[in-house]
Amino acid sequence: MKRFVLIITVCLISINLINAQADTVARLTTIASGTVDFYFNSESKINNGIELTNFTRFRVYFVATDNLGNPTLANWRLLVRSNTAQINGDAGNTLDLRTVQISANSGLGGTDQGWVSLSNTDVLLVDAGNNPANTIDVTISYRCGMDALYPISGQTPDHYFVDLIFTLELIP
Amino acid sequence: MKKLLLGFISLILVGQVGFSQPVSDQAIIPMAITVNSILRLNIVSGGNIEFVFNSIDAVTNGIANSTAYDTRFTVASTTNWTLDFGTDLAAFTNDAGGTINLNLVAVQVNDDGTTCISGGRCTVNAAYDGTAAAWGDLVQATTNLIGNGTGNVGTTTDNAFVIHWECGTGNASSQFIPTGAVAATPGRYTANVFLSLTAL
Repeated sequence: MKRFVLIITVCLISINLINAQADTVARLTTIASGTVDFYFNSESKINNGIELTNFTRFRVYFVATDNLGNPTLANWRLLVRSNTAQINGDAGNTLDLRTVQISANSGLGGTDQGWVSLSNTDVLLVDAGNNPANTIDVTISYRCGMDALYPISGQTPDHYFVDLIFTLELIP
Repeated sequence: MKKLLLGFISLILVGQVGFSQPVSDQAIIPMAITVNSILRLNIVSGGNIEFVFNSIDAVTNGIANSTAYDTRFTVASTTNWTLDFGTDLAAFTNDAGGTINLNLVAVQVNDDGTTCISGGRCTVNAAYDGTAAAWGDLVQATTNLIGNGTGNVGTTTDNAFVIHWECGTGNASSQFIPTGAVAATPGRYTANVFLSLTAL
């Protein structure tokens, strides 16, 4: 009988512990344009660069609540980085990551940081994202070869590729 | 007692799993950049040069360069480049098979309102260097005219050039018509000059 009571007690404590925790859920889903291609096939594009406006669309789901289910003061942020230290080409050529700039438009969902250059360390795109965000859409724009310091003109023809890693996270 | 302890630990672990809600998420977007090579040579004017010797003065002194004897061209390139030239024939030839030596014509190249050569982005064959007032012979063999200096990538507004031509003036080894070993037979003598643009 003692054992039975003890087991029941432990179960109740555990359930209580689970229910009493604050809950934070962050989810980033790609809604549209999950791949980005820049084709430099004209003198104009090579000299002036290419911009893809509001190209990729993410859906941000973010909810942070206390143990009573009320939203906390926590916010989210969106970051981006590349998975390599440079943009590699099939033929072994490379481009500087700063050849690419990225910006995010979260509407009123957060504080957009404007155009930022690609880096292999996380760079902030959107700060102080609303909580609860529920389902805010964030669009991403891209520029390539538009920074005069990192032009496409003069680069060796090749097929270059890089993965962009977008991270949605709770602001620590 | 052991079973009880095991059960307790299991429940604690279940509780810990319950705390592990995701607080970050990631999405990966593959990006590709395809850079095609663009290399374009455009003859702006002077695509057909014709020297007409119809006076004693012209025959005696040759026909000096003037804007009527200029070939203007531009280069648009996304990579560094080099420009060669040469003729298709070993000599100017008329319909009857008569010939005149190619070196009757003297050649000089220079910037055309730009600074590719004068600024060092381009090199120029010293024998044809207009910035040094040098005149070179027209030749059949493929000969470098303009090369890459510090980087001659650029648009048509960056890379504009002019080739000056003159005939029978004695510049370089260019011959005077009356004294050179040329056919004096009247006629229309022609040769094509190829300009060859190559990416480096």
